[in-house]
Amino acid sequence: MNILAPVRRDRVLAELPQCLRKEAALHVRKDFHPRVTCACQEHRTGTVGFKISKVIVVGDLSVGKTCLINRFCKDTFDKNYKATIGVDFEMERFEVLGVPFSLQLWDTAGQERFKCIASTYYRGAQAIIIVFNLNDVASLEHTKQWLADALKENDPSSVLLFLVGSKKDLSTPAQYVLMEKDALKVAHEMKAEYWAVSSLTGENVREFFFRVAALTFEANVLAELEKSGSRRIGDVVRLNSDDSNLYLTASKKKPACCP
Amino acid sequence: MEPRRVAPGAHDWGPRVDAGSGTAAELVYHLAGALGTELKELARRFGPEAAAGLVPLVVRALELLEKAAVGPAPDSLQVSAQQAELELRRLREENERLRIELRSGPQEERALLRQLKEVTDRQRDELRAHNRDLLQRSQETEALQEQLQRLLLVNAELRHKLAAVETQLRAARDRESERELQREAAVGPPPERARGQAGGPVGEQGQEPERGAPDAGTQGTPENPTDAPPQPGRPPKVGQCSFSRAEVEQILQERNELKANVFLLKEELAYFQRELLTDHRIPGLLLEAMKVAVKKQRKKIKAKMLGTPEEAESSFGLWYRGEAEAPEADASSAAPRELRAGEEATAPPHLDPVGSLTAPSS
Repeated sequence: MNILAPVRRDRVLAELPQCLRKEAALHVRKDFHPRVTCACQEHRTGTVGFKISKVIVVGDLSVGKTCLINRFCKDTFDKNYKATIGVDFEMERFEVLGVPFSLQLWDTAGQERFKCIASTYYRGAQAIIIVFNLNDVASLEHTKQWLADALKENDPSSVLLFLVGSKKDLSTPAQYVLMEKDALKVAHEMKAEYWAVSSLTGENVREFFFRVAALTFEANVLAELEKSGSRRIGDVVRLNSDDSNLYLTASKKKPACCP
Repeated sequence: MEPRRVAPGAHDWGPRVDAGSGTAAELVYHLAGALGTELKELARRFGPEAAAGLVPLVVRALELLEKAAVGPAPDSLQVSAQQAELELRRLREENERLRIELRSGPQEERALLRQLKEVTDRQRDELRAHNRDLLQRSQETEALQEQLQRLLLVNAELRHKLAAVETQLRAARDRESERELQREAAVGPPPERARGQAGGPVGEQGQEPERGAPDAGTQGTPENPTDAPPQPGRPPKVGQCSFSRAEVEQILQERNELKANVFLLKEELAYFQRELLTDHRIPGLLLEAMKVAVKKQRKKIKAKMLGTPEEAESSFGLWYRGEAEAPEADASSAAPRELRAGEEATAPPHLDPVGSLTAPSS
């Protein structure tokens, strides 16, 4: 049983979105892991009904964390600076390989005085997005500290890292090339995937979050498959979730005329 | 021949003989007697020669008559008796057969009638079942519509509360930034600036005044130095702030829960709308099971979203429920109780929506 409404058509992922730069990517495979594709086809992805991954967005103040999330989730852009109080979150729902999947994007405050509050929300993240301003070298340098803080609350071996340079529209091509070189180096050091975006123009924003969703989903399913080991997830879940079967049989009968 | 002639010779037999079976034989004997008398009379009158030729003929004729009158031989009687018996058996069989035929006719008819009755009964039962079904479905539809209505109400209420909390937060932030500006003017750059170097915070500093732009309602709120409890871990600037860190954390937690609720309610609403819009109807039992499952799933998702253990009852859930159950205490049990207590003197206008919104929830 799934109480969630159908996923928006522009949030459906049928293929693996590709990375921005091969030099700093989490992986450069063309497709999803074969086991993941297979599990999705056989509906053995575990956690019937609701797959949700927590993603935290950290970085210096006013680098555009909130703007980045708002551009993707609400397709809006407010050029006025409004400090985030502590934390905020947005839900974004996807359908990856036919499986409903939700990202909970936690927007944290960049201001130092809120850090103690925001850091209590770091725990349990499946992905960490570290944002810096492409026009501010210092914000790039601070990303290491942000990462260290975020990793204190998380398992460094399982969490996915993304290093995102923002405000790309404000940098000239020459400046950008210089900055990207440094950023790629940092990304490589922290084993993060590098992206450069502009929330103002929307450049790469959608591509970036789709990549986050796809890789998080892939890791999530792989972890579930791993966890269940020789047990077949599908069987276990099917046994344990009679309610979902009820719904499946009920929904099969009715015509597909969802609003 | 002699004994037979002697036996009926008794004349008192006569009348009985007429009615008896031996009628014809008796007549023959009478006739023989009469003819003998007549022949004796003829012989006496005209001489024995006159009747001599006649006597053997008459005797012969009488003998033939007697034979005919006495009836057939016993063996021929036996044959006819057998024939009669056969005939009788045949007739009995035929009778039996006819009776069976007679009886089987109505039986077929009766079976047909019975079948017809069964069909009618079944159809009547089916009709009744359909009627019941229809009734039940209309009741289910009503129940669903009621639930939808309720969900819409709850949704609106939660949205209002969320808006209220956001207003509170915004006001608090504005006040704090304003205070910070004042402090900055007096003391110099705040401690967090020390971390960033010259380049970093420039943007923020430039925008600081902008974000300090007053919210007409809250800007006028007089500062009350006593409204916030002293925080040991924080520098003196907290003393001016109307929100302690714990309070901000609580507000954030409540906001997050409200947001999670709004998200889930929106999804649930869409789900039930879908159910209502589709022609497919769910039987009551299944509907109940689904409702229970939805509730269970909602709990699970919410726990996931907020990162809380599934069973733990949230503080917000507690006060929210308490408020819903005791509407008369709405003013005192409204969410930020501590905040209210702390800000009683200022009575900020942004708290009003919370208080006024509790009324519809009762």
